[in-house]
Amino acid sequence: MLKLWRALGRPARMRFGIALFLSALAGASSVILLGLSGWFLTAAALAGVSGAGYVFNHLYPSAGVRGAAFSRVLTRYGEQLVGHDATLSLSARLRPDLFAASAASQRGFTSMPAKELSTLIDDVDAAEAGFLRVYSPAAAVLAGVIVALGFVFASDWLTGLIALAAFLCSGWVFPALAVKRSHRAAVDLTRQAEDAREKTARLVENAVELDVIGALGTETGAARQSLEQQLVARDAIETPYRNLGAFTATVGLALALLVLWRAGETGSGIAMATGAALALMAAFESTGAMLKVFDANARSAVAATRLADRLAEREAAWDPPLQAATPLATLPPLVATGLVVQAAPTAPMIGPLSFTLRPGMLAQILGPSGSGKTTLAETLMRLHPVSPGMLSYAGVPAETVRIASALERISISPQFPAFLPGTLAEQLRLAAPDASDDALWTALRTACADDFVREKEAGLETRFEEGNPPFSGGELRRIGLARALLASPEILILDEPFAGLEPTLARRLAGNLTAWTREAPRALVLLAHKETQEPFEELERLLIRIDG
Amino acid sequence: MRREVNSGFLCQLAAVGGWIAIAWGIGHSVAAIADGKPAGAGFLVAAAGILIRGLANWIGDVLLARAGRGMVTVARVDLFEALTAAGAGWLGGADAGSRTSQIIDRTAKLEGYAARWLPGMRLALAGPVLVLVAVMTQTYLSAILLLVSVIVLPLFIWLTASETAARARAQQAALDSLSGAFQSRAAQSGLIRAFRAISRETAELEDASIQLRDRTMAILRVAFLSTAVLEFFASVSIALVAVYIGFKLLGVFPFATGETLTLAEGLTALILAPEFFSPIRKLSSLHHDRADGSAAAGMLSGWLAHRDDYPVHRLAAFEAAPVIVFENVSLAWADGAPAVSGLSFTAEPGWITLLAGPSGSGKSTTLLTLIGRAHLAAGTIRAGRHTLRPGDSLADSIAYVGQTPWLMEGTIRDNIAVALPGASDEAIANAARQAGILDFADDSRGGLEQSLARFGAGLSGGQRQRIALARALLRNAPILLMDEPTAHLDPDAEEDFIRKLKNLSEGRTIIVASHSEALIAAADTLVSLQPGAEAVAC
Repeated sequence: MLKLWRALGRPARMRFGIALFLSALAGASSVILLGLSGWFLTAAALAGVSGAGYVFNHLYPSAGVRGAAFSRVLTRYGEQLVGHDATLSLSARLRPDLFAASAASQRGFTSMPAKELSTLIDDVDAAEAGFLRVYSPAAAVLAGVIVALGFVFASDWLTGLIALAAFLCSGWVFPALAVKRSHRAAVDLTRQAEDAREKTARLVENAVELDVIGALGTETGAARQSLEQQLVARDAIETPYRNLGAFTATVGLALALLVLWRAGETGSGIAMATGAALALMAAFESTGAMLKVFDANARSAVAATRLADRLAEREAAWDPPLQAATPLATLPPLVATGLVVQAAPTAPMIGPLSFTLRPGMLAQILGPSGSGKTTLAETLMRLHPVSPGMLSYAGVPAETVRIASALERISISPQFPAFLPGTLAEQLRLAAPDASDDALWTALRTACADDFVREKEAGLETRFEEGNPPFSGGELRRIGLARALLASPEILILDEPFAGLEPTLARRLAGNLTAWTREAPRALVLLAHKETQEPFEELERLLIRIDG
Repeated sequence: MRREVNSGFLCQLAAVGGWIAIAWGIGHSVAAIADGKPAGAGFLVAAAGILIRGLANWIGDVLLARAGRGMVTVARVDLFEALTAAGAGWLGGADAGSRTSQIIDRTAKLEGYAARWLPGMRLALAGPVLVLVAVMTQTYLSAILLLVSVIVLPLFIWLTASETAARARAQQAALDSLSGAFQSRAAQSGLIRAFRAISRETAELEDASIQLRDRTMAILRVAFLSTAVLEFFASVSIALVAVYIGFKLLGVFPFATGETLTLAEGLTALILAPEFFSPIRKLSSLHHDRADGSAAAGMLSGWLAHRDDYPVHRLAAFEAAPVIVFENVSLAWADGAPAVSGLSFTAEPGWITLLAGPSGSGKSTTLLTLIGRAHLAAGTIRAGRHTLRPGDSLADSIAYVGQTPWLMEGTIRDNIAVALPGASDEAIANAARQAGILDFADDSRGGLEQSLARFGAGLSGGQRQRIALARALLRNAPILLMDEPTAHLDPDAEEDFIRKLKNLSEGRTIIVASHSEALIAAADTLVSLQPGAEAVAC
C-alpha cells in the first residue's frame, strides 16, 4: 500500500501521521483507563484498610483516570476526523491520476470491458479504505497491547513474557495464518459466486424462452441450488475466523487470571497485578480486531499493487518523449509502407499493407467483421505502436510523432459510439470545448443529425443517462459523426456510416461528407464490409482490402 | 430462523452472565489476596465465567451466522418460487441486470439484519439491564451513575443522528455521482483520449473529488459527534465509578452515601462498567444493517406481492399458423402501471410483423401477453378463431428467440433438443442444417456432438442465434416470437439472420420486437410503439 502512496507523491502525509498518532493514543487511553482504575481501587483499599487513607496521594491517580477517559474520547474523535480527511485527500489524488494514466497508456479506444472496470472500481475502494481499516486500527491495538504489557511486566516479569507470547500468537501469527488460508479458499469462493451470479443472470435474461419451452422450473431450481452452495462455502471460510475470535478473547481473560494467581503465589503487589489484569482484559478485547486488520490488509495490498502498476505507466510506451518528438504541420499525406498491425502483442497480425492517403481522397478499408479494420484505423491514429518505417505523416516517421499531435488532426466516428453521462451539447463539446451552439448545429446538419435533435424538446440539452441513451442506434452513430466533425480533423475515419440507413438519407449524408472533405485539404477513410454504393463525386477512390 | 435468532441472542446474554461471573470472581479473588488469604472460590467462579463466556459467544456466533444465511436463503427461495409460478412476466418492470441484482444482492442485505441487527438490538436493551442489576447488588450509587449516563445518552445521540441522517443521504448521493463520474470516464478513457480531452476530464474529476471531500468533512464533523458522545459517557462514567469507589475505599469521600464498600464490591462494579456500555456501542455501529435490511425487505415484499395469482392455461397447439389480431389492447406491468395502451394490429401468417419503438415502449410486454404472462387491461386479442382470456397461453404453438439464446452445458445437439424433448436425431440434424449450424460445427470439430463451453463461451453472436433458429425450426411452431434477435449481431451476421428469417416466414406467423433499422426495413408490417402514447400501425 505504501508503494501506491509513494507513487501518488505521498498525499496528506502530515494528516496520515497525525491520525496514526491519535489512533495509538486512543488505543492506549482505553487500556490505561481500566488498568489505572484497577490499580487505584486496590491500592486505595489497601491504604484505607491500613488507616493510611488520608496519607495516600489520591490526586495523581484519580486525575490520571479522568485524564485517560477524556483523552480516549478526544483522540478517537480526532483520529476519525483526520483519518477520513486524509483518506479523502488520497482519493482526490488517486482517482484523477488513475484515469489520466490509463487513458494515456491504453491501446486503441475501445471501452474498458465491464469485468476489468468492476475490478478497477473495487480496487480503488479497497485501496482507499486501507488506512482506515488497516493502519489506524492496528495502531490502536498495538498501543493498547504495549501499555497492557507494561502493566504486566511491572507486576511480574514471567507473566509478562507469557502475555507477550500469547499476544504474538493470538494477535499476530494465528490471524495472519488464518487470513492467508482463507484467502486461498476465497479464490474458489469468488469463482463459485461468479458462477451462481451468471446462472441467475442467464435465467433472468432468458426467462421468456424458458417459460415457452416449459423449462423455467428446473432452471430456477438449478440457480437456487448454486446460490445456496455458495452461501455454505462462504460459511466454511468464515468458520476459522469465528473460532479464532472466540479463542483470542478467552486467552486475554485467562491471562488476567494468571496474573492474579501469580500475585497470590509470589506475594508481589496485588494492586499492580489487578491493574495488569484489567489492562489485559481491555487490550485483548480489542485484539480480535487484528483479524479484520489482516483481512483488510491482504485485500488492500493486492488492490494497491494492481493500482500502482496501472500508475507506473503514465504514458503510452510507444509515445516519444515530448522534447524528442517532431511537431506536425499537417498530417496527410499519410503513407503506409508494408504496415503490419496488431490489436495486442499476442493478437494475430494484420497486413502487410501499403498505401498513400492524400487530401481529396476516399479510402475504403474493406473486410469482414473481426478482420481488423478497427485496429488498422486505430493504428493510423497512432493508438497502437508501429515498427519504424511502416507509417509516416507528411514525411515524418510516425514513431517520432506525439500521439496527441496525431490525434489533433485525425478523428473517428465509430459504428457504436460511446457517450459520457451529460447533455448532448456536452457530448459534442468533448471534441471542441469552445465550440458555439451554431458550430454544434452545423456539425449536426453535416452529419444529417439535426432533424431528430430538433424534434427533441430539450434539443442540445437532451440528457444522456447511464445505459439508456435518448436516441436510436442509427441516430447515435450520426451524433458520433457530428462529434468527430467538430474536432475538424484532416483525416476523418467513419466506421460503417451507411449501415441501416435508408437510401435517400445515405445519399444526402454522402453528399454532405463530400462537400465537407472538399472544403479544406481533407480525406475520408471508410471502414465497411463491402464497397459503398454512394457516389462521393470528385473524390479520388482508394480500396484497401484486408481478409480475416 | 426465528429460533436461531432467539437462541443466538440467549447465548449472547449468557456471555454477559459469564462476564458478571468474571467480575465477581476477580473482585473477590483480589480482595482475598489483598487480605493475605488464598484466592479461593472467587478464582473458580472467574474461571467458570471465562469458560461460559467463551463458549456462549462462540455458539451464539455460529447460530446467528446460520440465522443470517437462513434468512437469505428463504428470501431467495420465495423469489424463485414466485418466478416459477408467475412466469417470465413477473420479471417485467426492470431490466434483467437489476432483477439479477435484486435476487442476489438485495436478498444478501437481509443477512446483517437477521444475524446482527435483530439480536444486537435486543442485547442493547437486555445486556445493560442485566449488568445494572449486578452492579446494583454491589454498589447502588455506581448503578445510579451508570443509569443516569445512559438515560441522557439517547437524547444526545438522537440530536446528532437525526441531523446527520438527512445530510448523510445527500452525501451518499454525491459519493455515488463521483463514483459514477469516475467509472464512466475510466470506462471510456479511450474515447476521451481520441478527442484529446484527458487533461480536461482529469481536472473535472479532481474538482469533483475535492468538492466531495470538503462536503464530506463538514458532515463527518457532526456525524462523528454521535459516536463521540457515546464514547464520552462510556469513558466518563467508568472514570466516575472508579474515582467514587477509590475515594470511598480510601475513606476520603466527602459525603455520606449510605453504603460502605469493600474492595470486592468496588472491583466487581468497576469491571462490570465497560460491559454495561459494550452492547450499546456495538449497536451504534450496526445502523447500516438495519437500514439496508429493512430497505431490502420492503423492496422484496413489494415485488413478491405483485405476482400473478391466476394460473396459466396452455392452449392446445395450432395446426396451422393463425392470424393474430390485437384490438385496442392496453397492457399493464405486474404492479399495475400501464405498459402499453391502445395497441391495434394484425399479424398475418407468412408475414413478418415488426413491433418497433424505443426501449420501455412495451414491445416485450406485448409478446408476453401471447404466453399469458402480462396483464390485459383492456381490448381484445384473437389468435385464429380463439379469443384469449387472461392467463391463456399459446406457448405450445410458439417458438421464441431472444437477444441471446439460453445455452446450457452439453453438446450442441442437447442445446437444440431442449426446444422439443423427444425429437428424433434426424429432426435435430435437419434443423441444425437449415439454421446453418453445420457451417461452424462441421464434422472435423465433432459436428453436433461437440460440447459447448460454459454458457456458450467462445461462440459468436451469430453462431448463438443460429442455435436459437435451429430450436425454432425443431419446435416447428406456427407462431414465431422474437425479441431484439439481432441486438448482438454485426451487420454481416444480421443480414444473414434476416435472410434465414425470410425463409422461415412461409407458413408461420412471425412477430418481431426490435429497433434494428435493418430488421425494420425487412418487415412486411410495421407497428410503432411509443412510450405512454397510442401505438400507430402503418
